[in-house]
Amino acid sequence: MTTLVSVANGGVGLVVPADWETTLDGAPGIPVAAMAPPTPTPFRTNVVVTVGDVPAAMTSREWQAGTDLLLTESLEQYQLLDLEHVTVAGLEAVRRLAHHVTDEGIAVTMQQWAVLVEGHGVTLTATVPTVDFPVLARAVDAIGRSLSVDEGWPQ
Amino acid sequence: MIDLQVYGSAFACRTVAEGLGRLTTVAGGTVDTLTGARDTVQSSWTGTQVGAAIGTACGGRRPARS
Repeated sequence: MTTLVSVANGGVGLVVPADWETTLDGAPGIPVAAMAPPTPTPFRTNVVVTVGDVPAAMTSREWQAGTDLLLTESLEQYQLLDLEHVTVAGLEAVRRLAHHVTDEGIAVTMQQWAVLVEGHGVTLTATVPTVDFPVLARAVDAIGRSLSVDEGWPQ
Repeated sequence: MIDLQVYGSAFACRTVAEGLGRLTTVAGGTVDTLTGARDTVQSSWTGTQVGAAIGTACGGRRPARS
């Protein structure tokens, strides 16, 4: 079973497994965060959606080039494994697959979908402990591919 | 329907608020630390930082530190 989560005044949606814990508007710019059921693993798999302003003059590719630079600078042992150009609601988007290590020394695998919608950057980031990634990869991939943006949003 | 149930176990967050408190702290810190060009990619960066923070805050046993 799955749960449809609609946020940003109904403009952004995603589908998560029904047994994931979902939290809405937990912080500014983070309309939804969802966590997988807990396991003995010291890191709990989760998905975070962000919506933030991007300068109007910036293209999607410039936005993502800047993102790669910042992630490389700011995340420990960050390694970009794959960067795939995809579409979300017919818009140019990317899916980023990367590895990094948390401040607590836990190796995690991150998948991030990012789409730029009229000056609004929408991202969906799934973070999975690398040791669990073979088991959870399909589930988080399905969540990422469910990301949708309604036509006409954000007006 | 949005599922807001807390699935408790020995390994879960003690409360949703625990995870959210950490999440909010990280998000606030993000705004404070980003400057100049970093503002332009804030949403992507915030997603990675918050994902790492709540995954750790709500995870199970902690790894042994050497």
